[in-house]
Amino acid sequence: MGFNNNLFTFSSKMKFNFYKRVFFFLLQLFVAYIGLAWYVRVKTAHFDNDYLAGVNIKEKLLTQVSSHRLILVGGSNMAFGINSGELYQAFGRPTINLSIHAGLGLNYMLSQIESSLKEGDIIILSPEYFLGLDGDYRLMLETEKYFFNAKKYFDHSMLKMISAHLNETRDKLKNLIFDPKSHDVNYWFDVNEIYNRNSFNEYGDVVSHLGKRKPIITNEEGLLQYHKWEGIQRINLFYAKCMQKGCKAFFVFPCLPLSEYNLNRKAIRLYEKDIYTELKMPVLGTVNDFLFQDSLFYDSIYHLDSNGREQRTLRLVKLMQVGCNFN
Amino acid sequence: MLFNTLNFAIFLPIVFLLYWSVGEKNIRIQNIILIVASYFFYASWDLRFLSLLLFSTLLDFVLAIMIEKGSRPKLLLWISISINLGLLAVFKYFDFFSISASAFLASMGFHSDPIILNLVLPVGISFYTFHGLSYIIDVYKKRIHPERNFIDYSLFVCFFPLLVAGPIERATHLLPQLKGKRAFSYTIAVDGLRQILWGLFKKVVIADSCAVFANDIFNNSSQYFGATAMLGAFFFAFQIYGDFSGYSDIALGTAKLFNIRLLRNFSYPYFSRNIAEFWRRWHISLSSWFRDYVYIPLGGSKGSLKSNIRNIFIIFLLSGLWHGANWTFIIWGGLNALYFLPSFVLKSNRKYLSAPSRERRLPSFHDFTKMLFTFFLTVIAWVFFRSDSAQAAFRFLGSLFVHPGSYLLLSIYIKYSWLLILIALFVVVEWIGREKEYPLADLMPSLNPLFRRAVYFILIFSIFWYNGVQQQFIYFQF
Repeated sequence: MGFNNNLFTFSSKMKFNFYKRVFFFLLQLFVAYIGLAWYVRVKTAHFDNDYLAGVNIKEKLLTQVSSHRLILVGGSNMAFGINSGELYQAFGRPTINLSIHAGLGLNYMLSQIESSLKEGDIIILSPEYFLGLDGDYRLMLETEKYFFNAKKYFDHSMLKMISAHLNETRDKLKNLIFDPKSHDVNYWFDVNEIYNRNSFNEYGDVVSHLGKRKPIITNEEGLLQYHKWEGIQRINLFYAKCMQKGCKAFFVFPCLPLSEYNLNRKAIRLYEKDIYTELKMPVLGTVNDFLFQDSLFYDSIYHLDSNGREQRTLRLVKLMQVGCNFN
Repeated sequence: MLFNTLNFAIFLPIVFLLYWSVGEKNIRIQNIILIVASYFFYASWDLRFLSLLLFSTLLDFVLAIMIEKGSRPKLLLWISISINLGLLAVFKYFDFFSISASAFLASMGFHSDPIILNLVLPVGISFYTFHGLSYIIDVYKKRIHPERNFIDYSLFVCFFPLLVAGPIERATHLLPQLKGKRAFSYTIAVDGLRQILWGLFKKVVIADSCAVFANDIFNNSSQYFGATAMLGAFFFAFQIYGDFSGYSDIALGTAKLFNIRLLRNFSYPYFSRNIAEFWRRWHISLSSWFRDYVYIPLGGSKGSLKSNIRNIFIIFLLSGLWHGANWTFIIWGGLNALYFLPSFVLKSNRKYLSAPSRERRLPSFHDFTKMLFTFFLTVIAWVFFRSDSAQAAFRFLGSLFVHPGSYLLLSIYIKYSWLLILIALFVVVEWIGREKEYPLADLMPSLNPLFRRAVYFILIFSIFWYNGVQQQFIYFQF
């Protein structure tokens, strides 16, 4: 019933033969992969930068100021797009920009600040649209290289390490083949000039891109796919902790070019609706408040240039003056 | 856990090694290993509904025995049907019918707030309830004796390769295999691995690549029209085929590793010469389920033409509704019924029973035009399947006719050229292998070992290359 009896065999020798052949095939595959991984890493080694060493700087800022801080949390949309000095002048509060890279994931961002919350702190949270909870494992490993304590904010597993290694090999191979600029040392010199451990000012803002020549704006995220964002529940947990510790926290939508918004309007509107209906954290402003002309962005859809940064900071200040009660 | 993840790549070998380590004589232990693995597999999706799966299994197991023994078998049958369909109705359809009823009442001038339960849909419920239903009906009809071994029956319901997205198995086909000795077969195991590889290729390379563009075009349909909109529908046709048939290949290949044969679910449907043939080749386990348990009991093709047409509409509409709680799926089903009717009335629905252009390298002109036309009809129907609402579907279809000149613009096709070439190559490979269970079957053993190894490496590299943007298996949502 269902299969050819001629194929029926009881021999354990057949099993051993099968295991042997599968093992040797997998071994060949493994050797081929190791060769490929080694090749792409050798060819792209000089493209690596130490931007994530910035987490050390930000962690030090957290410990330097004792309380009643204004802390900005998010991905690089906040790192590139806020002038914390103006926030300090507007509200008279020591301001710390903890934001560095969306790729670290929402769990990392919130876990890092959760452990440092002090009574009287005000948190402004601005994650990128549909930001993943876990983040890119490669970036997490790199962060731990510069900041050992980051280990406690990440979820480690062998599977994630393997997956990260495979993803990194694939992405580097694609860059090697398809992105001619990645071969151009001069291009990468400019990029490393922006993304390095010295990119940050005394508040933790990225300032190395200000006034610099703009490369072509890229969108590495692709189109947004709407789904019930799991980040809302995570933020609600974080907000509960803030309340317990006597802190205030506010959610702010990330900056986005108008062209990107038009391509993703449906997903973003549904996301916005979920935020208003399910997020317990108060929301400052709307999606529209943080849409900007494409010309105000620097090198990616979340990174504002100097003019865009000023406009966004101004809008945020106005929203905070109305929405946050600093008394 | 998805089939195309590292978690599954670790899970499967562990289960495989455990299963064959107990030896062919210990069927009971082999089945227990598979049940534990299956429940673990299901729990990795959603632990909350494990008890629902267990309840559904226990219910039909007990009722089937009572049907054989009891004095009121029909009542027991209807209890099982009511509870199984009731579970589906509550989890899957309640909100839809509530909102639709409220909208209908509003149109008549009666306003009421619909009751919304907002329940999470248990993964695989549409599949395992249909497993149970087919079993209980077969017992009632005395096609099979009720299973008295709960382990064997549990495995029939929860066998992990088919648990979350089919194929919908029959007790008459699967249970005897689960009860019988299963000796290790090198040839079948290698065939299984090969089929898994092909399924992964279809899912990761074809389906997920098409999904990126299909999602972009459908989600922003107001900005796309003419040839681009048509390409969106075309890409979705290959997305859903690659996704679902890829999943089925992985499921069948996985089962072969345990020397278990599952029902074939796809047989090159896009090479169909009419819609009737398409429905004999697409999601075969579902269409045959509706034929055997709904269509034939309703009278099937016996009776007047009017009753035949009614029965055809019923099964196609139910088939549409099975896919989801949305009017778009019902319209999709109805449209397929309309497509099917002419061949039924003209009695040509049983015309094409074998592979097209058998023993020919290329299709005949006659076959080619019929295949093209049938494919075009299915692409139009898929627009309803993919769209969020009926209005969106009609708007999308309308956009196909805007700027008809765009169909002649080369630049549009060049923009998607790499994907179109990939799909063309895929279609050629499928055409060459159309008389086999899957294209690589039989073909690979006849090749030079070195060349065969090279083909495997190319397929694995393609899967590695395209595995960046993962898309959810479409049929998991049903």
